[in-house]
Amino acid sequence: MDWKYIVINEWGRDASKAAACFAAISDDELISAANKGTFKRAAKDLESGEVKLTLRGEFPEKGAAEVSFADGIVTAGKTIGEYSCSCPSKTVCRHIIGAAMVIRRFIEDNPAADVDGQERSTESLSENISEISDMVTDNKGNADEEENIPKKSSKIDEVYINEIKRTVVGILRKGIMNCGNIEQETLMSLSLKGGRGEYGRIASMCRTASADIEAMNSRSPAFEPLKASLLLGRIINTAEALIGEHGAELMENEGYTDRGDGYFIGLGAYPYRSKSGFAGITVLLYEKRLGEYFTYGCGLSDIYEKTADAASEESFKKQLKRHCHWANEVSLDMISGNSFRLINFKADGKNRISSSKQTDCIILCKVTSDSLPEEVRIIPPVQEYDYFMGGGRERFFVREISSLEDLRFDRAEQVLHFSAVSSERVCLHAELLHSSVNERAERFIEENEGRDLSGYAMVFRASRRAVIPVSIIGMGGVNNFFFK
Amino acid sequence: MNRAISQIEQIIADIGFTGLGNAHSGIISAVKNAAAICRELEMELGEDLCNALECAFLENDIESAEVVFCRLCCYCECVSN
Repeated sequence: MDWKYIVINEWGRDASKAAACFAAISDDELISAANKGTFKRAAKDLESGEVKLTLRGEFPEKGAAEVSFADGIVTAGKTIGEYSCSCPSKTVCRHIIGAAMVIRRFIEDNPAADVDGQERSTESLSENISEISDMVTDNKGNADEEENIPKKSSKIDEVYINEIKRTVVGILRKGIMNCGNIEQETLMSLSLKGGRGEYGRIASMCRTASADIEAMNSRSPAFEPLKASLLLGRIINTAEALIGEHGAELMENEGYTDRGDGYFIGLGAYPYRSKSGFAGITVLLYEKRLGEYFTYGCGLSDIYEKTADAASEESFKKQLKRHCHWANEVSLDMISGNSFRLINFKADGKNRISSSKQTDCIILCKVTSDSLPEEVRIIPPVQEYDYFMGGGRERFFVREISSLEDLRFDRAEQVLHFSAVSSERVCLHAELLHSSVNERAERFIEENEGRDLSGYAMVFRASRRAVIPVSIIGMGGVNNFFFK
Repeated sequence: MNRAISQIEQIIADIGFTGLGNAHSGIISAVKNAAAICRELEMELGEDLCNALECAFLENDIESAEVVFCRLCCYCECVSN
């Protein structure tokens, strides 16, 4: 990539001394920290605009190195989690990615020398990532970072796991109420270090713990002391278990594997929103030949750039209709309501389908209530509770209904309870948590209370605690009531 | 059992929020109370963990308290589910 940057040395000392304080963050880590789209955008910004690196002191002095863009100023750190940007984005934005690339170039241009005068090479933060093949050259034409999963290593990275354990034990000893930005950023940094590979689970827990501290400090109702405390215990227990005898069993097997061809039935789509603010849409699918459920998820495109209106109703609708999936660029709206064939698809251990552009999608026909196979109407048994799996996987099923009754809104829990009643008057209790992403679905349930819904089938997903509606299917097709 | 789990959950929330190093007499008496409830309900493991946690606090043994706390978290989640 051909771009230049200007160094303004207000500090007045040797630039290599400043360079030695930072660490070169690889492209792989930058992509893991954000996503490929943001990475490419950052690279484009560097090529098209003037970038200034101002040196003011020796890191970790505050503001030691600042990278200025036309629309943002980034204060550099040693890890990606320590970078901060003046723009409104709450996540790892394109400015931070661009700044990290500038710092890396700066380090290369000003190699550090140690006390003995020998040249010392700078190390990438995560040595595990060095095993990953080059993600920058998009040879496969796949724009989604889910394809690029590190190979499973046979050894547990005890240094990383112990670092997590030390950090979380520290938080547990001082108490969440006494934690601030430092703990929050350290946890986020540890999460980014773990990435989405074999340490994905513990990395994800660290990210949630970071979000808990942020929520607590901002007095957000999203902060729940019990859940946050249980999470700290779970992280420590998981770290202990990973280092223990059966550690390898707890390593994530997140890699996507080739599954060949599949015949899928779309059963609707539903939104998700995590505590840390990420949001997207998941489409529920049933593969006829395997008799298994699969999901296909997609984050909101704008979530990494904008903040306040990123997860708005409009954003969800736009994402649902966006034609950008697989080689044929189908939309989530299309696949959630149709039967289709996937040629050369990939999926991971949790049956999450990859967005690979090498996968072809051929839409077959509309899904209606009378075209649903019998197998989807069977309610799968509750799985045995698995502490390290965070409870276990969701179960999915379809239920023929004749009406929605007994609506009751629990103000304390902020949950809408209702019964999906079948023609034989068998009631299934379901619920919806009141939130901005669920508003349209709540309204749909309320508007259809007591109506004759004979001939309809409702799709549900069930966790250990609750049964939640996904969509309703009639003779006219699938109604994605979360988005309509 | 719900009574015992509620009490244990309250302890876990209080300890996590205020910190293992800042456990005050209120938390210690809550732990003692939880042990008594577990004994009454014949929840042996729950009682053992609560007793161990109480001892660790009384002896100011933070490292042992940390180990027991983590086990209590696991116990609480497994029993609740």
